[in-house]
Amino acid sequence: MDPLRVLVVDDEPEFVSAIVERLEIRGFTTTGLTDGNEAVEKARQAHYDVAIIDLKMPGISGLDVIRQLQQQQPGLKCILLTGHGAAENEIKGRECGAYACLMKPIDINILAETMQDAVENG
Amino acid sequence: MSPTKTSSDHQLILERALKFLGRQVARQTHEITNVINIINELAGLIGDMTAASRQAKPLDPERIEGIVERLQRQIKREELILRGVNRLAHSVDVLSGIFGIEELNERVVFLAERPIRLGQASLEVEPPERSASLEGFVLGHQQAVLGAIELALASGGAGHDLRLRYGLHAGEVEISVEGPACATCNAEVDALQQALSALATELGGRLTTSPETGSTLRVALVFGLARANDSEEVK
Repeated sequence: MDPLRVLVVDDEPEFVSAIVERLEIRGFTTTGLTDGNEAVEKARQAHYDVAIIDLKMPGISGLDVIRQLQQQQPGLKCILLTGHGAAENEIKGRECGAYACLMKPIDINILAETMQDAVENG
Repeated sequence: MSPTKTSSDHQLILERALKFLGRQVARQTHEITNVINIINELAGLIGDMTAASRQAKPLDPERIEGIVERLQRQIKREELILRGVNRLAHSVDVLSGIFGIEELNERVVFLAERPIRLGQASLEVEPPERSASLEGFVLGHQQAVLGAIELALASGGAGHDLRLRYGLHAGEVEISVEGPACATCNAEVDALQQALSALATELGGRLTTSPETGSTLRVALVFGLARANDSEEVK
């Protein structure tokens, strides 16, 4: 089975780097970006199985990124990351089509399980 | 705060300042959380590498050293944020008094970092040419200068360069923020401008914005100086 192709988008470069490295160790093929608009553009050129998107980013919100990604790749599974525990973020995320909403700090193993689950059962 | 203001005026100013303080603390907790999240992932990465080394994948000392440096950078970043938050908290130790413009600038530049980053903008600062002091509500003046930066950010739209300048002349300081003129003028921008104008007046100063059309917006706050050149009384 080919490794899952994962797109990680968060405006904190060091956070993106660390997540990418940790997912690579777990066998995912991962691309990290720090700009939501760039992520939308990137997804026009390459296919991803899962996108991990931060809620609050400069220029474009994570919710808008999810909307645009899902228009481009309807089968793409999106996981929203949020720094706050508000339930409304999860509701908004699901309304936009996110498969799950995870609160930071994330547990990398739960993130990996959620990605697998999204692709296999979502 | 002006001594001619009534107690209800003071109450209103204090209420606004308290809300401002709350907003700033909330913003900074987001920044602190961001750093903690990064530290969490970098620590996890070391854990991942250690676990892999138990499965016959040797640890790469240079990679570990690199991660340690990345951790140290985040700890330094956290220190700076905490120092700024501490300074913000101490802004209300003495509500009203004499304070230096350089100190005001340092505090505002710290508070502006997050909105500038989220607005994908940059802030170039031209500090005052010489020492000078203002007299009044320390927190309120921070609120006003940050408000001018946020007004310029909201007016110009994302991804532009702003310039913060301090001009001293005729017993006054003019604190100006320049950026692109209204690209996204709307009710929000109007409301920001009205609130900033009211705040400037409450602080004993005034707000000017120019031009209303054209390519550059200039938001300027003018306040009377308490003292210039450290000892020269001008007010």
